[in-house]
Amino acid sequence: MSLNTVSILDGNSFVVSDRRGDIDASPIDTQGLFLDDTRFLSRWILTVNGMRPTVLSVDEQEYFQVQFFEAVTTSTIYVDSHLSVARKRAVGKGFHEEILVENHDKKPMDLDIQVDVAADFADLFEVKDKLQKKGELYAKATNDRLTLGYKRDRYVRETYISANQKGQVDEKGFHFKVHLPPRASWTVSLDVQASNRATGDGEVRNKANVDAWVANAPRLVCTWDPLHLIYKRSLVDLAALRFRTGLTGGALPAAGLPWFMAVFGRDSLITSFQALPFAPELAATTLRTLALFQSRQDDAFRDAEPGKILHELRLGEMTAFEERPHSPYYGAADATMLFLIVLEEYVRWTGDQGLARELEREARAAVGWIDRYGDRDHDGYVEYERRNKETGLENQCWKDSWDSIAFADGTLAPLPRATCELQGYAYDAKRRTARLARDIWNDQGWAQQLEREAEDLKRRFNRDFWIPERNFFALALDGNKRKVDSLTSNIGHLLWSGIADDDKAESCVKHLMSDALFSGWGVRTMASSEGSYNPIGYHVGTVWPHDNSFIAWGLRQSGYRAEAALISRAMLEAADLFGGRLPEAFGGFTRADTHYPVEYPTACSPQAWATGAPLLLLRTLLGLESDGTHLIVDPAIPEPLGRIELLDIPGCWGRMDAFGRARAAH
Amino acid sequence: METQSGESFAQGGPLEGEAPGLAGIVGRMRLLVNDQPLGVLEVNNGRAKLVPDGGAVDVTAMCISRDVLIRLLQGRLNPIVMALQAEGRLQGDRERGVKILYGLRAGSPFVQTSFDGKDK
Repeated sequence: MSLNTVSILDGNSFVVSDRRGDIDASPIDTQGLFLDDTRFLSRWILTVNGMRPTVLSVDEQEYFQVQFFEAVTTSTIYVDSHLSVARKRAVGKGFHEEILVENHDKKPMDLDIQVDVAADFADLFEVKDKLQKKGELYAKATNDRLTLGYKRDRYVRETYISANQKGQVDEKGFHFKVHLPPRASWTVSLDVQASNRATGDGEVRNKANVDAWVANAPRLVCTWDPLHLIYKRSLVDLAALRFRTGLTGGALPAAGLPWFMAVFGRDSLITSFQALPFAPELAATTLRTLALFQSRQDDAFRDAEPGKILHELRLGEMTAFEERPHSPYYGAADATMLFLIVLEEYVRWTGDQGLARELEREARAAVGWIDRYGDRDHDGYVEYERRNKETGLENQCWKDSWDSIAFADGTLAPLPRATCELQGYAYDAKRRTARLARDIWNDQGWAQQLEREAEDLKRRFNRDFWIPERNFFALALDGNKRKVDSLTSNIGHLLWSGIADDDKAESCVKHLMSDALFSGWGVRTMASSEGSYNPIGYHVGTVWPHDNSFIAWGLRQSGYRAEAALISRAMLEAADLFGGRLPEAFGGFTRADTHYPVEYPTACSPQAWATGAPLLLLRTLLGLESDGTHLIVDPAIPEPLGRIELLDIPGCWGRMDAFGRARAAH
Repeated sequence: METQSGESFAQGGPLEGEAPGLAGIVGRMRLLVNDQPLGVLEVNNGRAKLVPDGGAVDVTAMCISRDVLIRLLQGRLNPIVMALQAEGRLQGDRERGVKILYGLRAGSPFVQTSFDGKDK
């Protein structure tokens, strides 16, 4: 998000304005009131006597409310106004705004206060892809209410705006004539409500709701002061990103503001994994919701096959008219494996065997998808290639931008692509599902079969993906089964999944910690030695916090404690410099050159898996693991972070505490 | 006057049969068009059957027209698209309703059924 915008959100409802509080959307930017992937308000401009107030400060008190303090000034270098304006806004099923105008002068004032409004009802895809609308816009002003609407066949969306003060209302907004005596003030409350939404149950949050969410999470006590803010910010941002579908109980994390406030398979699963020791209920709702939408059909338009877990569910106009395949869209090759991984992790952490029993059928279907459809050409590896050539995603791994899968010389790899982390996830998913089959579903034969298949995959993977002349695993096998030989962060995910042989894992660790990959703030998505490297390229050189959290976790699980601690520390130091909130991604510039992490211009923030990254890093530092009965604590904390205590960690043990402190090297 | 039962609503072709996408799902869905009951869809672990209206149901599908209902039963209408275009909605156990409607899209026994001569 731009530094010049202010956002408040509540699930998939959000308002993005400039720092005055005004909304003045062009067809291609993201200012506005958005709900269900639709912009219900594209213009909201306050003027006083024809002038737009100057912002003095912005108080972003809570994620769902904000207050703007302004003055109506002449255009001199001095703020010499006697007229101040305070705008207090809270988002819910629309938003509510209270405008307070105060006369600080000894003389009375006559004011023309105007709020200009408009709505373009753009689908987020239209905003993103600069597309034109096909239906009709209309506006109706009646008494004290203004209705802005859009109609295309039976698809109707409306925005209702009303004020609690009498004024003039027309199709362009509200106009109030105000006489203000000396030292007097005037207020108006404006309500903006979205109607005809596809999902009826927006959740209006309040401070008590957020406080209860934070209070239910483990309590952090630590000696490195910035960690308090980072932890609190993660919890509050996760609270903000919670979102109810109205179909399954509970809330799951939406992916990120502004483009991804929707149910996502990969993002919701990864965030749920990161947050498991802190808010395990997110994983349960995510798993149930994704199970509900697990594909039962073969549908090329939606890149769906039986057993596949969705990529993305959207609710805007283009989805409604099937101009986009997002009802839901299934173009993710990793979400199905991640579904199985999170299911086993959740059950082992919480002891909730009931959910595993409830989702046995879906788990079996997911394994069936890996073998039958995930492995498209039956070479024993999961690969992807979109069937929807017009609007489907070309890259269906987490690095889903167009140029992310390239050879070391920078040429793009032909499709289909079998990226290395997909094979790691497939290996891990089968091993974990084998545990569920043995311990809960009482199917010993299937458990043994899955373990055999996993071991066979590991043996073949270490043979077919290894690049002996460079000593790391290929980023992918391309459509001609050639090794895509770029050095990337993807090899870090192989440690997490456990698919790498020990000697090969050691070589990968050396690469991960080398100057080419490790910037000093984190592991770059692509090494600076590679042909496509660009420190501000979305997936070809930037640093992604969630990526690093899983790399650190994988290092830790593989026994590389010091390396895991180093990445964790660097990432938390970056979070401190970002005001406690890690963005989706930041520049891959070398730390020694910049001394601060350089922002990536269009990074989502808050973004769910970046929000979850500090949580998984805390788990890494404290070495938290569950054996299905007990909480295992094995801390490895670097010196500057001092002492960390995490109290009341929920799990199958009830609530337990974990302590760790840095030890000086001997 | 609307017809009052699943049998009279569906005038020819199969009223029950295999639906592989409904494997693992059990439930009864009442079928309404403009508040008029047209029958109940009984789902039982891979089989679907249209029966006259009556008895307890888990979920109700409320459609704006027979055409919408027929497309739903034949698996030709995506339930999210239906909701977004305000052509119909689910009431009651919506989770089960969504599962049933997506399940029909993986293979419906009513594809050849004649619904008041308005099939296909």
